[in-house]
Amino acid sequence: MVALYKILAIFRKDFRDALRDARVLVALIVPLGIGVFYNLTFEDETTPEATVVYAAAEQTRLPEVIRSFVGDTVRITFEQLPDESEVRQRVADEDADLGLIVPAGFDAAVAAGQSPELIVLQPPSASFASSFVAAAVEPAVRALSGQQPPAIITMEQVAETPDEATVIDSVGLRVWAVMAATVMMISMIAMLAVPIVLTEEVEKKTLDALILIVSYPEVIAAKALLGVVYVAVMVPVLLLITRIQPSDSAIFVATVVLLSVTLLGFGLLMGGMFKNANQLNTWGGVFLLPVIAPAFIVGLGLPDTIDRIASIFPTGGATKLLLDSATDQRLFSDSLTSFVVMAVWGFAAYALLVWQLSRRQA
Amino acid sequence: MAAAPVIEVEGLVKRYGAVQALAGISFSVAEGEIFGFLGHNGAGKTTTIRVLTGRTKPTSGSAKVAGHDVVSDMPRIKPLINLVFEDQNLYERLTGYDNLILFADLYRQPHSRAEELLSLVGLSDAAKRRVKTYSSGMKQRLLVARALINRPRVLFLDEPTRGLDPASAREIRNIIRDMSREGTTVFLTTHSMEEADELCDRVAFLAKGRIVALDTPRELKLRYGQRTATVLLRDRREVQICLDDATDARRLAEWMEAGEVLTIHSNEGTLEDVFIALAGQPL
Repeated sequence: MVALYKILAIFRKDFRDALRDARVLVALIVPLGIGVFYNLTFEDETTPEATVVYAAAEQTRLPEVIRSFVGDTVRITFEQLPDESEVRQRVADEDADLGLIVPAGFDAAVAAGQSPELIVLQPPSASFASSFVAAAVEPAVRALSGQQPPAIITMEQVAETPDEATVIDSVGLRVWAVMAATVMMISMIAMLAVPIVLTEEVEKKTLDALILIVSYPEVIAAKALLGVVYVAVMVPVLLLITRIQPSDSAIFVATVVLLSVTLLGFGLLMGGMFKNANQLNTWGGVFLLPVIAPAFIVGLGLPDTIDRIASIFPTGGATKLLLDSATDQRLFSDSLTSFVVMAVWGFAAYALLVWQLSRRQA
Repeated sequence: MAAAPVIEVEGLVKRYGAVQALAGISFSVAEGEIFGFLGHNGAGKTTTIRVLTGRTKPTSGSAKVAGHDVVSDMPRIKPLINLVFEDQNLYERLTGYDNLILFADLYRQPHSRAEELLSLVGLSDAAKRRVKTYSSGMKQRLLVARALINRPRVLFLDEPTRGLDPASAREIRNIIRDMSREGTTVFLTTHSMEEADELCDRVAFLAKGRIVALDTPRELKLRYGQRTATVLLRDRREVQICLDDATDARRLAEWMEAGEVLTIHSNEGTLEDVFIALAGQPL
């Protein structure tokens, strides 16, 4: 018989007590710090950008037509300047990726077939975006003159073949890293912070005092609740700081909950195996490494075999689901498998935990 | 004994692998009694407490606390008992008050009970201090307070005064005595023969997992002590006389008639003497 009031009493004690333990604090704060660090270090944007400055004595449609030829390949920003010298200066300073000097009456002259002079200025070291936009000027001018292009050339940036494309290319390094850090955070809470709290109870023999009035399952349930609450607080804090809002909240929450419950099973199992919390703190890293590693392997575009191995770990499956939920895209086709992987590991963990508890009670 | 037994142990055996910790002990403890359990380290004292408090299962035999079997009916026993552990197993990062509040919640007692007990053990002023700043004596008093949180019917104390200075040990003994007066049954294990002699209504001597003697301290001392007395005479001579010897009785009468006797001390022995006589070596 499990009594909720006993579980809550132990949980309240643990919540206050554990936060005063430096080892637990480290387990909570390190992954948060890593997530924030990744967030600040990595950029989301993968589309190249180009700033085009131009001087035109009269209104011209040239920028608008160039934009239509460039399409989505380059994110282009036009900026009109008062005179030619200022355009030259900005390009020379590499403050702009391209400069255009458009003479007076350019659009009309082009339309009349008079071949007016258009000056295109490139900076000393032209970027890909700069060259791409420069290449679009000629077809744009032809279009202004009313010439039908000999062929309609559609420029597409062809996606890499699945073998070569990485998830990072699709979601961006920042999102990938923060999702991996989320998995790391859950792993450290479940397999380091919570086991430390449990092992300390054994080490200091406070567990003996609890067992006088509560049962082992009640103690275990209280520790699991502590882990779930730590996750429920820390993961939103990480998302808040990194300003990442999952597109599919349901998948995100389901993944976080299932991964937490699964890893807490292993963490509590581990907590019952060590004699003292310092020993656990020291060796915990060895256990954590293979647990956290799959989170940072999934999406890197490593060989299939490695990716498959990573996917059979609950953290590998969880990372896939979190990446899927973080964007509008379906990056992985095996969502159900990932949930099943976590559930199977969770079942194994709790079966072992029940066995361990029954031995302890015997 | 008049009162009904609140602890009944019959043929209790406990083995840890090849090691036999308890070799079939039997005893009973009456309601409101202070029962002392004495023995060397490893004699089986703590194992007996572990069995009676449901923290380990016996290999064979039976034990009942408050009429409930410790194996099959432990959930009914748990709210009725408490234990002062041999180790000072407190939450050291929490305050004394918070330590008691946790157990008040677990035993469904009002928080005012924690304040009441802190006052009883003289820790009201230190209630809001973290336990790691407490002295050993203060921690021990807090342990006693924690064990009283549920007003236990049976209070187990495992070496409650071990390592304490005489003043702190005295305070703990006074609390134990008060609890007993209020009707709590006390099961006490100790190494201190003086403590057992002072506190216990009955004591059991445990050696190698067996009870080798069980009676009131006075009866044990009488049974195993010497029936002699030391007489100090006016001329400062000390003379040993045998209480069962008619010649010695006449000599004593003569000395007394002549006003020669300054003091007479009976040599009834101590519990320590009794233990040595039974177990072969001192505690």
